[in-house]
Amino acid sequence: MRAPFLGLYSSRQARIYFALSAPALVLEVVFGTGLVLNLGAVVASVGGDLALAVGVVPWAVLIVAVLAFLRFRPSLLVATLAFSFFLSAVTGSQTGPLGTQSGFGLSAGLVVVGVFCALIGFSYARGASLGAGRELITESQGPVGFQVFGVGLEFGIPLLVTLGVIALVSAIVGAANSEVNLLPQPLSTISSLYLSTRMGLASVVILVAGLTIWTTREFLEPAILYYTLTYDEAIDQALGEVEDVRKSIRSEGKVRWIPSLAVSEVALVAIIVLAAHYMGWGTVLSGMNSVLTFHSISPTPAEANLVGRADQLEAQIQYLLNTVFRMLWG
Amino acid sequence: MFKRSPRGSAVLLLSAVFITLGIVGSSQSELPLLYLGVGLLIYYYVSKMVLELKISAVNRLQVARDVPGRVDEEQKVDVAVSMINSTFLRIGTEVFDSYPPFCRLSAGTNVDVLNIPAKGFSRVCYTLSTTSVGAQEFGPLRLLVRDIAGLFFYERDIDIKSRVEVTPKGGAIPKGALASLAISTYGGAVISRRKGEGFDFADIRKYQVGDPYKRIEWSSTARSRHLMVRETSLETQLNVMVALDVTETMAYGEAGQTKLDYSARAVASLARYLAARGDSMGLTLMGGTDSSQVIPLAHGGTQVTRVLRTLSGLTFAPNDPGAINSAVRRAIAFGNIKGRALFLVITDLDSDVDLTPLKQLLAMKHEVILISPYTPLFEAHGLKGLDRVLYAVNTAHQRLARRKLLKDASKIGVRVFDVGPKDFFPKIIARVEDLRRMGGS
Repeated sequence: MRAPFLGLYSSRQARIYFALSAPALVLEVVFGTGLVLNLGAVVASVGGDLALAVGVVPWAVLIVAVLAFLRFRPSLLVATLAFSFFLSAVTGSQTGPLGTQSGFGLSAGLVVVGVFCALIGFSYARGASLGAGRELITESQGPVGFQVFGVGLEFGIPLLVTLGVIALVSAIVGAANSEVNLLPQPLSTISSLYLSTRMGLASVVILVAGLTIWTTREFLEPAILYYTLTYDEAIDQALGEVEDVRKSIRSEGKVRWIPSLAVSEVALVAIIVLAAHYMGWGTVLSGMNSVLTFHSISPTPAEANLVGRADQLEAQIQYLLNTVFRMLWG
Repeated sequence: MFKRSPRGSAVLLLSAVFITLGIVGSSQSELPLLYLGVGLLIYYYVSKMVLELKISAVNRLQVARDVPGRVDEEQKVDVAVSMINSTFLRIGTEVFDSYPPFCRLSAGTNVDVLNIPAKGFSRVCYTLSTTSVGAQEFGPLRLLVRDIAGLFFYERDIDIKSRVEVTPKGGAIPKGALASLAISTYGGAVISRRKGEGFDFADIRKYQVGDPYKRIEWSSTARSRHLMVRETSLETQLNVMVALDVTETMAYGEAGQTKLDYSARAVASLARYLAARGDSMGLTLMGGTDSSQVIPLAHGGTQVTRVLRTLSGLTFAPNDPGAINSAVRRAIAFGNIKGRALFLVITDLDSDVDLTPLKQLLAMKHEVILISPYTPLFEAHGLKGLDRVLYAVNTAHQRLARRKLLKDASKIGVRVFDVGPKDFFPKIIARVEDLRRMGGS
């Protein structure tokens, strides 16, 4: 008799999932090995325990990715892939997939393809894990034409709309670049200079994309809901969401503070120990002296000024980020 | 409930990574990352809208569960869940059908990933084996729908009212011991010690005026030269009213091995036993003040069917101190009791209950016997570790209540018989036959 876990991994649905998720894992391995080489060169100059700790990171990420692959967790696989891709980028590796020097464009394209294959594989993974070792007695029937239409609709609409919006954004950015000369001087020169910078271009792209999403959310989505959702269904959905919030508040109030407190305490102790290890106990204790002895700190005018400017800057960044997030995520 | 899945969060993370790299990158080759990030973000929102369309299709899904209304114990229950999709959207969904907690999956699966075709239907079939008697309620059907990349999901519980009633085995008691014991010990003539109309020979005596001629025993008359007649034992018909406690302490324990399960099997067997002997039987369920159900005294095969049907619809109720009072009042009012009857009160005495109403039955010259399934005999076997400790704590608490009730019962003159799974039916039959020998009803 075959062991149940073997049944889980050898079912047809599991095989489809593995086939669909394999590209993401291969990409993770490529980025991981690239990271090991790049990070090795970077941290070699630092030396010591820190180099060892940083050197472990790519291997840890790789192990997590393999586990996610084997445990039917494509979300974790995608997260590790995003992390590895980001690390590859920030460590200055321009190496494309499989060692080519094609830059980030192709790599990112392959990452997106790999990610979507893994995500589509998830429903097969669910089928494999839910029906593991059990005999399925199911029956489905329907007109083939509608079936093809339904699948096409589900696959095609998001892809076509996305490509369409990207083309629209690209066209608007292009038009802005070309039409900026119509503005009177010196506005025309300022705008032209602004759009030639990366930040300016990014702002326009994000602004147009944000406007598109906002329009979709404000007009198209309510229209879809108006024609598809009945009053009772809407009430049911709303009550379901309220119930979810109620449960989360309840668990927040009763249980969650204990693990978060414990994590905070452990993190505090870890920071102090690490600081003492690298800076010495004397420095750490003298730095904490004012806190421990309740003596008030009297900063110099220059220090007070610096703190005030830092506060202002932080407030501005927060406002900017809030605006961007509100625009994008609603 | 509509929610973002971990995969949705991962895609947002990837999108954020691409946008960040696109913004902070200096070379022209990194610019596509910005578009890719924005594209992912747009895909994310469009997927949400497509799922909203699918949700409307899910809300229009016609769902039905096909379940047999009543099955015998140990008979399999075939369940079929059908979903008809009348929309033009294909619905890929995870299906979770909640079957009754006291049933076990025997074949197929109640959990599956299905693609319900547009303008088509899907059906999930599975088979359950029952462990416990009484009414078994099915829970809601849960559907979980995702978009094609699984970025969002929507959960919906569809409440489909279904129940299967499990009829206890009459006649054949588990392990085989009870049935064989009952039949071997008590099978045979339905007679009492009193002499009267019947077929079984009891004695020979001298003829008295009024004796029927057909009773004259000619051979004895010839020998003794006196007119002798044959006496027969009186055939007695009993009136047995069973009052069955269906409160929650009776239903506590391992599925299929609870006191209520064994009680229901014993009552079913008793119904067949009494019907075969022409006795009348009634059943009163002690299930709280408002739910005491009464089947009036009657005899014959139809009465057995009524009793079995009632037992198959058993649902346990919360403990109620006034359960016996309510049951006795309703049994007297609606039980069709004429003359003397044997009241068999089956209760575990584990919760506080008022036994005083039984005194009223004794005062009315009825015979009252309290059959008490003794909890440790039913629940201790099969438990291990922490379950056994919890069980011991629970039983220790219940023992105090039981001791008090036993004292109360002896004060009012009601005989109490402790029974276990193995001697449940024989002890009931013993009490019934004792009454028959004493002259019956």
